[in-house]
Amino acid sequence: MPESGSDRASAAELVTELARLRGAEPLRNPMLELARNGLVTVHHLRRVVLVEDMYHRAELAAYGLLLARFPHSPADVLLLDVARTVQGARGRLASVARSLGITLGAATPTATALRRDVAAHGFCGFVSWLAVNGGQSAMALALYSEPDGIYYGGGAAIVHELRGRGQDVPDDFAEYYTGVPSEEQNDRALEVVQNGLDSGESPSAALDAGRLCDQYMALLWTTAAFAGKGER
Amino acid sequence: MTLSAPRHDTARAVAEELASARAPRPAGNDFLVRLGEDRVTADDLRRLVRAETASAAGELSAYAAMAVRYPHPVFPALLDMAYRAVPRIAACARATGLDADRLARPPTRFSAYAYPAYLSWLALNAGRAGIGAAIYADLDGYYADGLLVAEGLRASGAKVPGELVDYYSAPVPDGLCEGSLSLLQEGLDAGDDAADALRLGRMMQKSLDGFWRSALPE
Repeated sequence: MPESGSDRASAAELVTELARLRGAEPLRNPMLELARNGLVTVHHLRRVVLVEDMYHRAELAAYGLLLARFPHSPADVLLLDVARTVQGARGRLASVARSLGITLGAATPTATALRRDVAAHGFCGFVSWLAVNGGQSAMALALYSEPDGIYYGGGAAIVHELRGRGQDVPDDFAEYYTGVPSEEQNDRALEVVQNGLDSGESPSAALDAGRLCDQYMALLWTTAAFAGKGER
Repeated sequence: MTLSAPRHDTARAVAEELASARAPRPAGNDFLVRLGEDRVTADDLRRLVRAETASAAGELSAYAAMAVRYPHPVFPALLDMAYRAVPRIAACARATGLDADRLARPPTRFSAYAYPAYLSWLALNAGRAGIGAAIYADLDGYYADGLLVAEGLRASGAKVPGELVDYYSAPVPDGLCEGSLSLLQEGLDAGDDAADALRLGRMMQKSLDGFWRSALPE
């Protein structure tokens, strides 16, 4: 979108533009590429779960600060709802981890290496940056999740590829990563985006945040794909 | 602390480990390498200035958030540093031909956020020792690289605005390294884990490498 073209855009138009960008300039999913080549092992699946666990922790702190910054309707309801979604996901992720033979929070060599990895940690930084600096429309556009977006779309594509090839994937991993975003939450995110725009926030700043969120989220699939030799 | 405590359980020891872990220069800094080859373009400089702008804005809010969590005198001093940098970066922006519109719009390249994003994460999640170690690594690494950048810009064949050379010639403001080490020590004394602080300092070093790299073409 030209810099001036988004000056009067509505929330719905921003969502459309973000989806267009996703199609026009697709981001790589190295984990899916690995799956297509039949190279995904349980170590990669463990890495996905461990990186996502890092995301969850950073997200909860970020949503807490955002709630303090935007304690009014409709942002407050959205943020509490998203925080609850993450909290619920944490419990399910812990059991996915157990199915893969690991414990979240344990200081295994892989978990320790990921905690030192700036790419694995990248999204944690972005969501924190957004919490400290982002406007309502920027944070809410970043929270808007398309079923075929980077996170949900990427996870589902990986699971389908692995299952389609007859690879062994624990049921709860498959279930977790073929989940779909809540339509109600997305509707509310749109309301918050619009609320921010109506109060004078910049549509292009929101769009930039949405695109940045995609790029940082894609690092989940990038860092998961790089399992070292002999990793446990 | 017990007699068998590891030797990096003091702020000074963590700082020394950070210094020895830092990748050698210029090899560890892609921007310096390119500058040494005299291949830095006007576009690279403009990208660098935009990344500096986004970083200074991120610093102001992150240091403020840290100050709210931990009332240590290093934070007002860091805020002062970041605040004073803003007009100097604006002067660099004008000198490199960045118009106000482009400058007002933050960088869209995600690599330009490696530094401010990590700083924001620290502000929300890290303890005193981790923040102290990371800020020490930041001050120690960034300003040292800045001096090398200034030197490289001066030696470069291309016509480089004096504002940029001036900006990168500045040394670490007095007392800030000591202040960050004092925060680090305060955290260690209160029971923060030294190995974890070292890890967060190392990640700052890598985030800074990403910051410099973000000025170069992808």
